[in-house]
Amino acid sequence: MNLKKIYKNKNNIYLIIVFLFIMHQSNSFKNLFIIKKFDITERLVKYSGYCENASYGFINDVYNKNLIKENIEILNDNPNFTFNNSIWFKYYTNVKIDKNKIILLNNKNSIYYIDNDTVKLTFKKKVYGIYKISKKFDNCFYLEKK
Amino acid sequence: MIEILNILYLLVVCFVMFSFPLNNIYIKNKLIKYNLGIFEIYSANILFLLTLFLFLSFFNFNIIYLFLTILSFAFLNLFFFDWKIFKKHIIPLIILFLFLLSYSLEISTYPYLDWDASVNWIFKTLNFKSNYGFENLKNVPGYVGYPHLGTYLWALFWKASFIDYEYTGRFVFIFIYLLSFFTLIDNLKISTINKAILLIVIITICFDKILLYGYQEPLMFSVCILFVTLVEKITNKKNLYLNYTLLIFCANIILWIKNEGMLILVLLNFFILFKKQIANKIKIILFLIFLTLILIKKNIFLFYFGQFLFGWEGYEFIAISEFFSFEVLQRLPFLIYQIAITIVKYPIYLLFIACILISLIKEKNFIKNLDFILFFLFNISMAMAIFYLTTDLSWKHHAKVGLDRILYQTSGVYLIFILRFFENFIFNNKKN
Repeated sequence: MNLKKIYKNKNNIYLIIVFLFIMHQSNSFKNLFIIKKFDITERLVKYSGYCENASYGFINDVYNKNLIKENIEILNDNPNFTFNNSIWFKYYTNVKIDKNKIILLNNKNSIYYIDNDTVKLTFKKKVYGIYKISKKFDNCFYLEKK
Repeated sequence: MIEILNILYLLVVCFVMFSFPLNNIYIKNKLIKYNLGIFEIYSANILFLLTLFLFLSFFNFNIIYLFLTILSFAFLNLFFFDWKIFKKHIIPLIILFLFLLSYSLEISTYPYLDWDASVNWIFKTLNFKSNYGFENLKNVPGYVGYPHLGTYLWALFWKASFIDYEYTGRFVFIFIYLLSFFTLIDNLKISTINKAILLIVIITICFDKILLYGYQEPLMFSVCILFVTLVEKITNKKNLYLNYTLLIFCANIILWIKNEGMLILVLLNFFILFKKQIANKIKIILFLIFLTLILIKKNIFLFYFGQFLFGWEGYEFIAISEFFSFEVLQRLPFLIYQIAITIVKYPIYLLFIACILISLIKEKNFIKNLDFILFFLFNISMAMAIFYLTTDLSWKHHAKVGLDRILYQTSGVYLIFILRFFENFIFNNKKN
């Protein structure tokens, strides 16, 4: 009965078409599914990478596991990210940068191994010094000053 | 589920907050001569509130209090609300809500910031979100010479969100962006069904990924539309103080969204210049006020940061003697090619060119549309000149990544002509 009423009223049919068109043309049903299935961290990792591109996943893990509440130097060796598009993920306004901790992303040739967990860091010809590897995943490193 | 509820909550907040202060039965009675539709009232409120936010951005205080105060006033205003005005616009409101929801879902699904946003705008946003004022912008990464109004708005809505992620603050950009289309349609004298069709078509063809990735272009796009709509609304009636006040607010907002706003404002002045209903004396006063606004902005930047940027950081003009040197002239083919790509990329431009040509052939009156023709020609020339006249050796890279965005943010202005064309030549013909 209700369906018949809806069918009889042309405006309702138009509205349903409009609803379907708008939701379909911007992939809203798919987007709803993605939001429901993956939480925000998973989505950020998917689009910013874990240890690639801006590497949100690695930075997030380092900050969360070490309970860091300050800014630390983030260096990205990926040539497409020369302007350091990764800083903002965990940026604290008006908090000094702790130079003793460094996150190196997408390392190419910036570190020289001294021993298993100690490296010398030279990023873009600037010598940073000797650091201990506190966390490593693929080409991403969390380094702490020795 | 919480995220979806948060989206709905923020959209409702947008609707409530920007319904204040003008949709009030007492105020509306005084504004009857302006003949404002619901979407025009919303747009006027946006201009009022953005001006207020701009002023308050110079002070350090917890912006959540600002949010709560305005929201409380807006809620109180609901008791004096003119609900009747909504009744006539149920279908457009449903369309607005559906587009808002679908674009907000898109932003939530891809919470990604593009280049400019991730190295510049987001830090200004974080500054305001941490309750620091304009002066503190010199202590955060990014370009200190870039204006900040959009990022203040972003911070305000991010702070208001129940989920602490930056993307939640960007829904308001979509709200303002979409509302500008509805403001345009509000003025058309066509049936509701035709309005609905037009809305869906123009919103769909204007969609670009620029809207989703934290750029300021959607705001600029909308404010440019509002500026020209306000100029178009000026009639021979006397004492249209509200229109002129809003026009000045709008001009100021344009200046504080992006640096190229200064050039865009100069171009938008064509519409005032060619508007017969505005007396010459008022035109001169408006131009002087706009000039004063530019000088105020310049001096604020010089006072706080000791610099005033025209384009991007390090932007410098080439010497006049080099304007037509062979080396600089060689840039022209590349820039023309980029313009051609942009025109094809954004169908509004193609549609505008088609409409203006048909209009010229049919009406054989060049002068009637001179404002739009000049705006188009100067707009294209300005976009090219920015890259043609710079000493920056990486002009090619800047043109590749920036020219389309420069043209996108002014493209909304052409919609006014396109819609007028449709109203006159297509829908009216059908009626006859």
